[in-house]
Amino acid sequence: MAGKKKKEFEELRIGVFICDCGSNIAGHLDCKAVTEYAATLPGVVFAKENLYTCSEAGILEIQEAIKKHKLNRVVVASCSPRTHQPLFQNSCKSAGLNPYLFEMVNIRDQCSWVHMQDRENATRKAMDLVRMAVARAAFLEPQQDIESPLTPRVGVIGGGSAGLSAAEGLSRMGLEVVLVEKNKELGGLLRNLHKVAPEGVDASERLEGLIQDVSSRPNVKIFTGAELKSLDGYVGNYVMNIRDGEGQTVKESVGCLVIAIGAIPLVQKGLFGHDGKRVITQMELEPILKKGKFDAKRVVMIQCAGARGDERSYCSRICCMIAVKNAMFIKKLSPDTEIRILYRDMQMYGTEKEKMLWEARGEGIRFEVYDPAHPPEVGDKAVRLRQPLLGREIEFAYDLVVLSTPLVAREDASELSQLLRVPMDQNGFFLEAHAKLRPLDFAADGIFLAGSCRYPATYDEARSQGLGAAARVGTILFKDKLVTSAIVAEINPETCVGCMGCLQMCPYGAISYDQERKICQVNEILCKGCGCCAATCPSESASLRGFKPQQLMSQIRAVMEG
Amino acid sequence: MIEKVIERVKELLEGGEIKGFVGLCNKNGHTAPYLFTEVAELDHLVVGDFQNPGDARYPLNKLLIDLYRAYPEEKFGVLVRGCDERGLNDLYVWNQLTPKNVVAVGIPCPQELADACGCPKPYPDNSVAEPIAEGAEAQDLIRMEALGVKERFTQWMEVFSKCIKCYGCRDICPMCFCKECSLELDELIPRGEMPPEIPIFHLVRAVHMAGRCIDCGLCNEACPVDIPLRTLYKKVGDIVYRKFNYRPGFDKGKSPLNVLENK
Amino acid sequence: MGDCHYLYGNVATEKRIKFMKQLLEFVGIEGERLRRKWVSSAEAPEFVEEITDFVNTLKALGPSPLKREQKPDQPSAKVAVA
Ligand SMILES: Cc1cc2nc3c(=O)[nH]c(=O)nc-3n(C[C@H](O)[C@H](O)[C@H](O)COP(=O)(O)OP(=O)(O)OC[C@H]3O[C@@H](n4cnc5c(N)ncnc54)[C@H](O)[C@@H]3O)c2cc1C
Ligand code: SF4
Ligand code: SF4
Ligand code: SF4
Ligand code: SF4
Ligand code: SF4
Repeated sequence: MAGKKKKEFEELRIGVFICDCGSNIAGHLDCKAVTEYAATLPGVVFAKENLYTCSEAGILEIQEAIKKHKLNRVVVASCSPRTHQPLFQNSCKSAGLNPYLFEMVNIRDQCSWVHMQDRENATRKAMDLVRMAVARAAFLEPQQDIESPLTPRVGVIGGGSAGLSAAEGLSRMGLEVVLVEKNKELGGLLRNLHKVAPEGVDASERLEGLIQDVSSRPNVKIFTGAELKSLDGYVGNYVMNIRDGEGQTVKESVGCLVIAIGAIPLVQKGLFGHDGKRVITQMELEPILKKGKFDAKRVVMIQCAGARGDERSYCSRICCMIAVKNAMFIKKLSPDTEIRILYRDMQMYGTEKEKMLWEARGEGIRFEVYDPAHPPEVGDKAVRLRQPLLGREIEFAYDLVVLSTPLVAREDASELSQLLRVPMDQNGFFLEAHAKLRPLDFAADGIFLAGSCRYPATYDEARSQGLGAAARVGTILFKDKLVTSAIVAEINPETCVGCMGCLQMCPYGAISYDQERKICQVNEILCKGCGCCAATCPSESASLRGFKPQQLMSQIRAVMEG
Repeated sequence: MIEKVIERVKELLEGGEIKGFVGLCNKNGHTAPYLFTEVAELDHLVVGDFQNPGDARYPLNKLLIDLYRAYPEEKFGVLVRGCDERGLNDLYVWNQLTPKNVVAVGIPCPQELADACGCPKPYPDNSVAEPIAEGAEAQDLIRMEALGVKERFTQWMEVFSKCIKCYGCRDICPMCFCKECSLELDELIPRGEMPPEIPIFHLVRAVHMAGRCIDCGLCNEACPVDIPLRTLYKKVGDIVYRKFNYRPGFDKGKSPLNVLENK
Repeated sequence: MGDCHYLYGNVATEKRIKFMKQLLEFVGIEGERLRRKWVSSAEAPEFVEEITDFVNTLKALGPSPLKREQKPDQPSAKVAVA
């Protein structure tokens, strides 16, 4: 409140910089006119057109203007704040201006690009946007970034290929690891596999190496037969409550978490006549091959069994490779066995798998396409198939049918999702923050994911995701302290009446009720600045820094003045 | 009716169950809210039926909130009609009162009042007597809805423009419990404009009351220029009920408008 | 729905818009003047189509009744409606 008073007496000195972006902006709207217009706006003491505001010369010009003209607000009209705001903010900061007194408008994407054919209107719109930014800038307040300490330890949930790889990576980076595995033993699905395609190495060999490496590391603490029961705290300062192998509750402080609980291959009695004996799944075939004895002379494999249909619409991606791998090993053990793979389309992505497919064909493995509208029928002795191209029915007598069933989400994944407050998709796989930009992050800060719990993955993928997640953790924990944006909510303790309206609207659980003072308060580290609380609070007691009523309304009123 | 109320309050005061009773007091021909702490004072207790039933109604719950803030450990009794009891329920929901600090002493309203109010439930559950009237339809709302959009606009703007920004509607509302009010926020409702920016002023309040208004009609009674505010707020309640299946004071928890759920 | 950068912010918005449309309609401002549509940053054509359609709707409805009501010294009332 004291700051507010002071501000009223401070003379407003806004500097506006209009970027030509070469011809990117100036080619399609009149930057000179926009600059001249900006100079007439209330509070503006300096307006300048730059060829490239983000160039060294441009930045220098901003910094000199701040000093020379005693600017206390800076507005840049150029390209996307997503890419350039940090640069400009930091430049202001090094020139002695609080970075939160900077405002940016995007006249490239929103004016020159979308209205390329209409110079006059593009120019007018740029003026409107600049007017709005200047109006808002007038009400901006200086802010301090929020700092909090970090615990340089990491919790890894799940000790399969992905979890072990993450633990290995983290440990090598010098971070302490707490690995929590539900099973009595580490290793996950790989434990029961025969060979690992595409290289074709022994699964046990590959796994032993990894387990040995991880368990011999002094900075890795392993809990087996254990489970995460609850999680308190927030990024940098989580506390895991673990139920260990003896049923005791153990508390472990960690700064970040990696979730790698894998998925399970579907086994569904009756699916294509599945009986576990003559009709089995690929997973059930693996131990048979591992034993090294194979008698069946006629094998039919059916792809997409239980996948890509009404119940489960997704493609499990790895089953085609598994089928081809297992078919090839059958051929090795029993060269005269006849193998047919009935498929919809073969997902053999990547050069190595593509090569596998060619080799399999060369070895005499037969591939038959089927139409999902007429799926193969498994009879007592033969599989009946309608060939879509010829439209005729044929039968393949069999000794063994192998179903390539999808990996499905673990049933207990939803429990974990609630406990961690992270989302799942409609199939029960964990949902990353962004499929392309943040594939290994959860939206919740400091929690990452890897392996088949995210989406069916091969060993190589699970491993690289585990290592990738470890690297993501590094971006947080290799700093001295956690610095988060000051653009978070605040609650005025004087006016709050503790109605808890805000509390129930906060998607991030950042608001709590203070029983003592009978008011609500914001945890600044958990707050993501979404503004739900501010929009709900009837008395404006909850507000979002940088987006207070005054700051928003000034902008809205400015657009109407045009 | 009043005898039964007095009898009950006497019992509560004598038994030491409540520290005081928030009711209406008639002295020297005036009726006003009053905190009764002695049995001897109860001769002056009235239910507010002056010339007509319910023509002296006050937001007693609002006084109760102040008492609760000042004496969070004490228990008080309060006189309630159907709407006041809805108010209590909703104030519990909004954490402004707790049931353990409140004893409601209810009275049912006569049909005449229920009809005038268009009241859905003219009797409280905690009552000294059986209901004597049935729920009534909101005639004013039905009439307004039957008009065309243009006609409605003209009518509302005409009445809104009479507003003198006295804040009477807010001050009397038992569900307005904020310490600072958006209607006095300069950025939203510029100071010194008369009438206030319409219909913004009235709609801002209507939005704030969504999921909270318990339809007591006190705002309407308080308005010195007779803006049919109750009709507006009945519509607010009607939208919340039809779109979100929630009625403040009847249903559990906050309204779906005030709760974030994941669907 | 559910694609909100802030998890469920759009769910909250959806509810408010539903409410506001009806309230505006009741005080005589056509509900069509308020519109909500989810468009992601990757859906430029949808965005253009939506805006064009909205502009056409508004043109067909004519000037806002509030605009006609407007006194010249009260520019801010325009804020309420598109
Ligand atoms: C039949 C079959 C054949 C395959 N063949 C190949 C192949 O040839 N080549 C290849 O690259 N890939 C193959 N795969 C895929 C490979 O198995 C997976 O890529 C790999 O197992 C994924 O590792 P992960 O760590 O994500 O999951 P998982 O291996 O499933 O490990 C998850 C671990 O988390 C543990 N866990 C689960 N829930 C919890 C909990 N709540 N708390 C703590 N711990 C928990 C589990 O016990 C498990 O140990 C095959 C898969 C199948 C089904
Ligand atoms: S801004 Fe959003 S995340 Fe922050 S406290 Fe408010 S509702 Fe929660
Ligand atoms: S909504 Fe506002 S008044 Fe209610 S608890 Fe939150 S900050 Fe306080
Ligand atoms: S609203 Fe209902 S309960 Fe309240 S005074 Fe009117 S009739 Fe009685
Ligand atoms: S009817 Fe009026 S006074 Fe009563 S709760 Fe609703 S808004 Fe408040
Ligand atoms: S009581 Fe009537 S006149 Fe007073 S502010 Fe409310 S609506 Fe306006």
